Amino acid sequence: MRESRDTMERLAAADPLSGGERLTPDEEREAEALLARLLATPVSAEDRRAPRALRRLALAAAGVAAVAAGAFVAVNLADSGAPGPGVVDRAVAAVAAEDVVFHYVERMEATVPSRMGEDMTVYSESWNTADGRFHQKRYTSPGPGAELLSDFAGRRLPGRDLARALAWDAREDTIREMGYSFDSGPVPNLDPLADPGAQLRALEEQGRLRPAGPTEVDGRRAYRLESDPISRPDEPESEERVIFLVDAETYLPLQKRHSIDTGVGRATLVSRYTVYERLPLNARTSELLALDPHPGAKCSRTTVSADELGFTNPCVRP
Amino acid sequence: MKPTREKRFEGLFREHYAAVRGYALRRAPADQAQDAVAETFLVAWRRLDDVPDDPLPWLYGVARRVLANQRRSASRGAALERRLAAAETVSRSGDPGERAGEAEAVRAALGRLKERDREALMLVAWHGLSGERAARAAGCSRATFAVRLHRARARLAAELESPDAADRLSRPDGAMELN
Repeated sequence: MRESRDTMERLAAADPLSGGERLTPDEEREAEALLARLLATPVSAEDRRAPRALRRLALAAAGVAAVAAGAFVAVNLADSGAPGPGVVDRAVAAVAAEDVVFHYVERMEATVPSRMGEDMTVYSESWNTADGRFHQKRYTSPGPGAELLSDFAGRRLPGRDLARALAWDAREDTIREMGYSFDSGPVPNLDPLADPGAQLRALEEQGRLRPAGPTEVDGRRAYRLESDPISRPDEPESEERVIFLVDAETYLPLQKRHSIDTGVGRATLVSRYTVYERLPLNARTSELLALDPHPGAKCSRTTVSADELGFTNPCVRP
Repeated sequence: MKPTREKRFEGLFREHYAAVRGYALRRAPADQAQDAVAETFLVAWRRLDDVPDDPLPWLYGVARRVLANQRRSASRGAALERRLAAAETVSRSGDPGERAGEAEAVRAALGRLKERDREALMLVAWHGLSGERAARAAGCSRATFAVRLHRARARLAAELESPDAADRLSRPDGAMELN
């Protein structure tokens, strides 16, 4: 009787290629032509290296990119039994204020395939404002007395794609002028140096991030906001996914996990936020948005003004 | 003696071309399928050092993403559903009468499932992969795939019985309509 047949048997019998995958002579000729074309396609050393997605992640973990850590905003879902539409709108209402400094402390752990280098952990502290100022410091370890690896501060100005910034690097003890822009491509990451709420709203509206149920992080009630698996058009061998974990009770962000699977290797970048808070924007907190003093540091050809940076350029004499 | 890069790729291509082509043809019209096969093997050629010892699940995984990118870039999201529902082109079996009607009904039900469920079912039922290999092709762990397959099978069974039953399966336990 048809109704009682096993579902998988019925499905197998419905295979549109149930006649087999054998090639006709014409199809075999087509295959041979494709093989010849492929073998004639030059393969560069760049092509043969690890996928770009993994290299990006390794660079991010190494701190080679000016700023690579992600931030996310908390979403208060404590008053609702389950996440749903409008979750991010509420988060935006909570955080997208003009007179606010977003401040967070992050521990970022990168696990990369062995041939990409070693696993590593980076600690950072960041501040940014709705008017475009930002500052991030990276350390080798957490807590007071930690060795500073890099210092990066600047400002976005309306109408400019590239923010102007100064970067100090511990290895060379030099201050350099840099640009900063953020483009995560198809992966729904957040620009760590911009208002997270507005970004989350945009990602939700675009369908790139969706609430995905309750969870728990270290005993705290949380919700997941996650992306679908994403494959970049130029890297179809890789699949990426981003998951944000959001504290349901306190609005505090808890964790972000970005994973990249190439089928033969997996890399993950896990960010844990030990502090995420909104500070009032005032004279004291404005000072947190400037590059730290680095007495004795060399200056490398920088002329950018205080107006553009949002703080005085220590390499430009008044 | 270690085979040259070209020889290794040629062996890979000859052994798996038909299977990858079959994978693509089950999911896309012939012209798109052929493009996807070419792109899949181009990735394999470039990344030959990364291709695992058991290459077929890896190739299926690449082909899946290539097809997904094709659909996204050309807004062809509904093409597969239409194709599965219509089931009018690639069949070589020429099922007559009731058998053809049954196959079309099953494919139409399959076409109404979510892509992830559909993929799990197709990898096992049409491509004959074991759970472990299918999991690699789907890009998830074996345990995750087992759960996904179990649920997909239940949803397909429900679709075959009644589309409403399938809707109920997609909701969490305890969920109910208020009106």
